[in-house]
Parts: sequence; C-alpha cells; structure tokens
Amino acid sequence: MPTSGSPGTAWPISQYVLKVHSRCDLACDHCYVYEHADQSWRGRPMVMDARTVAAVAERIAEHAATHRLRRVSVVLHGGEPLLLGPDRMRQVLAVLRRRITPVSHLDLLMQSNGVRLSEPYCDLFAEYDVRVGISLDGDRAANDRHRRFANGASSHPQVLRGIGLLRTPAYRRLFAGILCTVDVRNDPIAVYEALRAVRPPRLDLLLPHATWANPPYRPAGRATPYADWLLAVHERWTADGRPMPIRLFDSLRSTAAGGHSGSEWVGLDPADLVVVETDGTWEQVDSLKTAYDGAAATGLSVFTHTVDEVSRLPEIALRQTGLAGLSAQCRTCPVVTQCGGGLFAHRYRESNGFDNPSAYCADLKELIVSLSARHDVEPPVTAPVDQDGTDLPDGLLDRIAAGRTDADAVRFLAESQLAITRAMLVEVADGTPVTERTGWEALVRLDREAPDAVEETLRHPYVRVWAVDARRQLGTDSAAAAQLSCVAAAAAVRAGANVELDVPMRAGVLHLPSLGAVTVPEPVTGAAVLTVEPGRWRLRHAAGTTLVSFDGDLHATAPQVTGGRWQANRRLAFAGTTILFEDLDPHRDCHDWKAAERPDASTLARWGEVLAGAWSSIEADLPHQAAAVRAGLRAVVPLVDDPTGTLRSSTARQAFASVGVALADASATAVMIAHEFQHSVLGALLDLCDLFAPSPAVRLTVGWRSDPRPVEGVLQGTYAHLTITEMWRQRASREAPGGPAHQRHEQFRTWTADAADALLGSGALTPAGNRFVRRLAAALTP
Amino acid sequence: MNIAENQQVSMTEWLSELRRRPLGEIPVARAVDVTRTVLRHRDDAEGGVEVARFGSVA
Ligand code: SF4
Repeated sequence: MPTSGSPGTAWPISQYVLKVHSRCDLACDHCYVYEHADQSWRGRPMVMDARTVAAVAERIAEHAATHRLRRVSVVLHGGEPLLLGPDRMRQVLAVLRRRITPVSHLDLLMQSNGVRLSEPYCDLFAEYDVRVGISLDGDRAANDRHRRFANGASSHPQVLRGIGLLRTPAYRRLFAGILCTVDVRNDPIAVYEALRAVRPPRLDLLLPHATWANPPYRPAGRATPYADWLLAVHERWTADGRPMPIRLFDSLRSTAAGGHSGSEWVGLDPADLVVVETDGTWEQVDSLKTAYDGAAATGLSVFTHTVDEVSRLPEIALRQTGLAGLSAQCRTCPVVTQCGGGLFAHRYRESNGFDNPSAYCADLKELIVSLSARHDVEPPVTAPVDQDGTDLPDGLLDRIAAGRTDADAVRFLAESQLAITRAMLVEVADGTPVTERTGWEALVRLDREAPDAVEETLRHPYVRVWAVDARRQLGTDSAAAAQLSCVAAAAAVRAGANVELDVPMRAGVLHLPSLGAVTVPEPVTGAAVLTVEPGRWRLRHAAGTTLVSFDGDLHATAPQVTGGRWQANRRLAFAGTTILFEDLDPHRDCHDWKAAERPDASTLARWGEVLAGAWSSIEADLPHQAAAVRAGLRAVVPLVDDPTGTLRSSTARQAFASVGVALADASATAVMIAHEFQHSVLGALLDLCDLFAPSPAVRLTVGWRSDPRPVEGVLQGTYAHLTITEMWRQRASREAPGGPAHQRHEQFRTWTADAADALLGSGALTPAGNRFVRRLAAALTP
Repeated sequence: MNIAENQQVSMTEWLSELRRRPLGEIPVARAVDVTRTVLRHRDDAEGGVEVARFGSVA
C-alpha cells in the first residue's frame, strides 16, 4: 500500500512558523532559541523584512494551491514577535492575509510571552483574526524560576496583565491558550491551579527540551519524575471535571482509541510543520536546535526553494513514515502507537543521531500505562457505535452506498441530525451559567408549545456548527453560548410567540439563524434585550432602541423598521420549491473557502438562474437521486470566487444538508451540488455508523489528487465521485461516442474504481465499511 | 424505551428517543454521551472531506 514518506513524495505542509523577530525581551534559561546547542540566531537579521514576508506568503500560497490545502496555519514566533511593534506587525499580517486567504483558509496564530501585549495590538489581532498563545509556567514562584528579564526581574505581573487583556469580552476570542514548560521542582498542583485560574481555552504542558546528550534534570532517586508530575496534574484536572482541554492528555486519550494525536509530542501523526527564519531560510522544527548546532538547518531559502522542495528533503520525509521511522526499541514497544517515540528532537544521541527512544522514554511509558489504567475505570462512552450497519433501517446502508439514496433515506438522516443538534443544545445549555439561561428556558418552553417552530429552526444547518463551537468553549467563553438566545428568538418569531431574551449583539448586528439579521446604526457589541411579540419586536441595546414590525408572514412582507435595518434571509427557486440562500449567518463561514458577502440584486438574480438551471441538470443527469436532493438539501452558501477562475465548492463537516459553492454556470453547479450533497449524506451516515477504524498512519493514493490521503478523505472522495461518474454517464448517453462527456465519465469511473480497490485493500474498513465500498464499486458498472 | 435507564440501546434508538423527548427532559449525561460519540474521531481529524477538484475535469 502506498504510504506517506515514499521517496520523492512532496508531502503537503500545512503549518508554518515564521520567526518575525529574532530577539526576546525575556531571558528564559530554558528557551531553546538562545540557551541551547544551536546558536545560529546570532548570524541572522533581527527582524523579517517586508521582502522576506512577501516571499514566504507567496511560497505558502503556491503550495496550498498546488496541494489544494483546505487550511493552512501560520504561527508568528520569535524571539518575541511583539517586539516588531504594531506598525510592522500590521504589514506582516496584511501581506499574509492578502496572499494566502484567497487560496486556503488561513489560521493566523502568534506565540508570545505576553509582556508587551496592549490594546492597540489586540485591536490589530482582532482585525486580522490572529489568535494569541501565551507562555506562562504557572504561579509566580514557578514562572520566576525561568521566565525572567535579563536583569533577573520577574515577568509574572506583566504576563498576567497581558492575559487579563485577552480575557476581556472584546478580545476573548483571540485567546488561543497557554503554553507551560514543566519543571518538576515546581508543585504540580500549584502550577495547575494558577493556570486554571486564568481560564485558558487550552493548556499545553511541555516537557523541557532534553536529549540523551543533554539528559533531563531528574532529582536523585526518582525514576520517572515527569510522569509523576503530570499524573498529579491529571488527577486534579479529572477531579475538577476537566475545565479546559490539556493537549498532552487529550492526545494520549485520542491515540489510545486509535485516533490522531494532533500534536508532534506523542503519537504517529506525520510531521507537518516547517519554520522560516528571519532571513528567509527554511528550517525544520525548532526543537531540533536542542540537539546540536545546525540541527534544524535545511540549506534552502524561501527566495530560491518551494515548499515542495523542502518537503521532499529526506530528513522531513523520514518524519512522515510513522512507525517505520522509529528506533528498533520503539518499534517493539507495547505503547508505541500512543507514544510514537516522543518528540523527535528528544531522541538525539551523539553516537547515532535520532535513532533512539526519547530521552523521556521511562516517563512517557509510565505516564501512558498509568493513564490507560485510569481511563479503564472511567465510565466509557455508553452510546455504542454500529460497526456493521445492523442498527440502521433495513437496506439503508446498501441504498446509500450504491448512490441510490432516496427521499426516505435522507429524511432518516435528517431526523438523526436533528436529534444530535438537540443533544448538543442540552450540553451547551447545561454548561452555561444559570444566570445566562433565558434563551434556553425560552427554547424549552417553545419546544413544548410550538414544537414545529423549534424543529424548523434547529434544522438550520448552521445551528449545529455554532453548537459544536460553543460546546468547545464551555467554561472558557460563555459569550459563545449566548447565541442560544438567538436560536430561541428565531423559534419564537416562527411560532408567533411572546418572549423576552438577553441576546448578544456583534458589531451592531443581531443575527436570527435561518431568518435574517437586524443591524442597528452603531457598531455595538455586547448584551441587548429583545422582546418578541406576534408581528413586532423591540431590541433595546447600548445605542438605543430598534423596532421591527410586520404583517403576518415575515417573508411575505417587507417589515417596517425604525432605528435600524432588517435583512431577511432570501430563498431561491430550486427543485420545484425554494431553498435558503444563506449569506448572513456568521457561522456559515466554516467552509474551506471564505463565504461571500451578501451579493447585490443583479448577482442574486444570476444565482437564481444558475440554481434553477442546476436543478434541471440534476433531474436529467441524476434521476435516481434527484428526489433525495430535493428532500434533503436545505441551504446554499455562496463562496468567494477563486481568483484564477477555478470552480469551488465545499461541504462543512458539521453543517448537514448545506453546500458552499462559488458562482459558476448551471451545468458545473449541478455537478458541484451533487458532489457536496454526497459528502453531506456520508457525513451523516458516519455519525451513526463506523465505516472505518481510525488509522492515522494509513495513507492511500488516489487518482484525483497528487498527495496520499487519509482513509476518511478517500472514502468521502470516492463516494462523491460515484455520483459524478453517474452524472457523466448520463451526459455521455446523450452525446455521440468519443465526445468529452464520454472521456470524463471514463476518467471518473477509473478514479472511483481504483480508489474503491485501495480502500478495500487498506485493512482500515469495518464490516459495514467493507459492505459499503463493495456496493459502491458494484454500482460503478450499472 | 427509556434512555435514562436503559444503557444497552443502539445509537439509532437513542437518537429517536432524543428526537421525541421534550428538550427540557433530555438527561444531560445522555446528551453528552451522544455528542461525544458523534464527534468521536471527527473533532480534529484532517482530510475528512475531499476538496472538489473541478477546475480541469468537470
Ligand atoms: S515509551 Fe519509549 S520505547 Fe516506547 S515508544 Fe515511547 S520512547 Fe519509544
């Protein structure tokens, strides 16, 4: 089976660390940049200049376009990136956003010591959507042990002030989390309590960098002090109900269940990160600098080499090979799938390089074994997941697999999705402070009194997108849960009920999911009070009062508005009825490409023609599934056009029955809608039934992409291409032999059949997955 | 069937019970289990959905 890391493969790289400033205003003695073996920083420019930033942005964008990367993250790092100053920082951010965002979803992050964080900086980060991680080692005593100014003074008060800024409502969404380097001389509970007190959305506990050449500090007589320290934190964190995610523990829990680790510290996930120094040289992960002078060097530069060239380097390719790239001792270790040999840099020994277990091997083993014992006594997830399809209604799996999804099958999936959204709302509401539950209380009442109105609102695809997000932020950001009031308000409007709710306004906008948005004249952010009565609402906010009144049906009449503006969600003709054209919901921006702004009247008219034409094409080219599309598809989200004119479409994992599409002609739009709808159907099926076992190390080669793909990606792609094959078969049947439709049909049929074979041979499918792919393959030759 | 007491029901059965029960009467522990199950290995997974590649072939 082809896997990652085969010679010559340019593995896609999606994470980039940019050293924008090479100096730091602290002099932490555990910092790998200045205090470890590699001293290459001394010969480099202090800041990354504009020319270098432009070249990096160009390389990343070009790589993201070639590999069709859905997401790219760029981490601004140093030294201390805030030493750049707000003006230079703005230039860096502007260039990165301008060049990369049109190609791929760009996550911008910054890792900082927080000392210089200020309001102007936070405003800038809010403008460019940059999330900020802060380094803090715990309580004052712990932090002062290493994180001091060059004159020895404590940095603790300044760092807490910086974190305080990130905790204010205006900037809370910028707070990415805290990075804490463990020191076993610190009291684990005091460190944990101090970090918990600042309520980070995520906590990273890092082992101090060490190698076999420069072993970790161990107090005399203690075999596994780091494991003991981490286990003490784990115990307290679990007793506390896990108030925030701690990445190391979550990674180990995930790898224990066969999943991804999502980090380079443990597990067998392929390394997916490169570094750019201030002078534009490409380097490997920074932690290698702890090993020996020059360990991270590649000899390549952004001015002369592409990301593909970096990714083909043998030292990078080695780190894509999972188990095969580990030392003999690790390969036979009973906990290797969880541990993965630890951080690559920590394996270094002068005599044989990185072909060793981690210098923390004993601690990692002890930690993993003890945590597994603890997980065993925790209550397991009690909802059993179907592995062989027997929980599904008779014949459903086979019909869906064969591309014969009918209206009943889609309705069954939609009902399951509705139930899942309800479960998510219960969980979010439960995690919301009692004083902030007016929205939930209203929704519970409406669910009894007007269940149809609640149901219709909860079926809106982006309610679940919001709920998944809010659930993640429970305990750290109650603002996320406040949107529940907007869901309740939308249900109340539909029901013609009376409610009064505390609602969140953002930049002068109150959004009612699936209905529309009220915009008030001032860009107010914060709580407002919404009173809904039949045919009339009143919104009291920081800048005054806005009144909206309408006769009977909100969609049939243009409401009268004083003190603001109402923008209704619009519907366009599709499938003999209408479909929601979603260009308002802030949660719609979860697709691979940016959601387009609300189009003007003439563009909307063009969309109307395209969707009507696309439906005719779906009816003609996909006769077996048109009824399913009609019954199932709920929304179309317009996406920003590709600058090169390439067609764009996307399905968001959590937004069932909604497709994102950039404007194109009707025939291409039909293909895109059919393709994305398949993803939605399969996504909903995967919620109910496991078709594959998580196998992060397995990568399969497919015809439609140049890079080896994970199993779920191949399954999704194969399933979508089944439908595209069918569409081209129908189109070809109306064309003379040898025409372009015949060629395309043959191309898609071959790709799909080969990918189905690769899946069947991967060993990753469950019994249900095996049956699914066999049916799918059989359906390719009707 | 009552999901509050019965641990041995399938996911599909759980969901139809969640669908029928009034929102205010859904046990939180069950809701949490369903959510966690649904998001089991999809929370951070990369590469779940293949990006449509239509530029040259559709
Ligand atoms: S515990 Fe030690 S031997 Fe086992 S995988 Fe980790 S580093 Fe290798």
